[in-house]
Amino acid sequence: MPDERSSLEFVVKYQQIEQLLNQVIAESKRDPSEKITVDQFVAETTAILEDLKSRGKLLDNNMLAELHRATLQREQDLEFEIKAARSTEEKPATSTEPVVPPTAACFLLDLFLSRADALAILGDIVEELPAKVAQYHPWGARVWFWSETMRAIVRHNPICRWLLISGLLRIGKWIFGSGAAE
Amino acid sequence: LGEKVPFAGSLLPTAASPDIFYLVAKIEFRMDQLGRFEEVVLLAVMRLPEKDAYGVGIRREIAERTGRDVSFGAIYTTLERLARKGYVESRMGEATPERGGRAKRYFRIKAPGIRALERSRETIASMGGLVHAG
Repeated sequence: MPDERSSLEFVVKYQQIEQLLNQVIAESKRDPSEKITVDQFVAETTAILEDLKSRGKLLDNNMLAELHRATLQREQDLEFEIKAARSTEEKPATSTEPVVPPTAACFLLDLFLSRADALAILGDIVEELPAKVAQYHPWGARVWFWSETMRAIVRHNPICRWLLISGLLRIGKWIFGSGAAE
Repeated sequence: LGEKVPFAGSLLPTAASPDIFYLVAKIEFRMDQLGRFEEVVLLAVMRLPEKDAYGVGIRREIAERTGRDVSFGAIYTTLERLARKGYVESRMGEATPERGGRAKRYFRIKAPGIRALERSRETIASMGGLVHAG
């Protein structure tokens, strides 16, 4: 009977350590800037081990030794996994510098588009901006932002479209018409 | 166009002598037909779950499926045209911080839109049949 209870306790405690390990890894992946160290994990697992030792009558030495060995192994794994998680998180962090949407482009969209169109289109462009910053250089993302802005304005505002077309026609007339007149 | 316009009925004169009825029928026929890009946008709206059927989701879906990086301006112009035809409807959603506090505009396909897609698919299938036969 004591063997069964001790085995059960061993399993429960081991599962606690596993859960703690997963939690620490998940947190380190979610926010790599947060200071989550191996020490924190060791402190918590040590507390669990101490708890087991205080009730050592239920556990034989082999089990304690096995648990201790497994914990040490897990600590090493944890150190490795945290390093791996942080290295993968750091890559986009360096390329995703916070880019503020160009104020002038936002102003132009607000000015030339209807209220509903400006909200929806500008919101979409702003939402997509971080992905473009990760994909291109921040400068490339700004160019993309301006390109989307101008395309949206030309497509949605008839006056701008007319100005663009008439401007192009004038340029064409100036290029080809002047030759014909001479 | 010819005699295969389904709704023009007796109004359609011969193609050799087009008059005002023929022109109206031709315009109606063209308005009823889906353009290639309209079809792609409509399919994207239909495929996406309701919570993703807004500008960014539709753009990503099109990029993923067709490999084309289309502008938001083109998507919204097409969606507005489809809305005028009665194929989709839109509603303003919630504002989110990643959008700078701006609301999303969700789109949903309507029954006429689904019928238009089916017609388009049938047309393509029949033309495909001609290709195989020829």
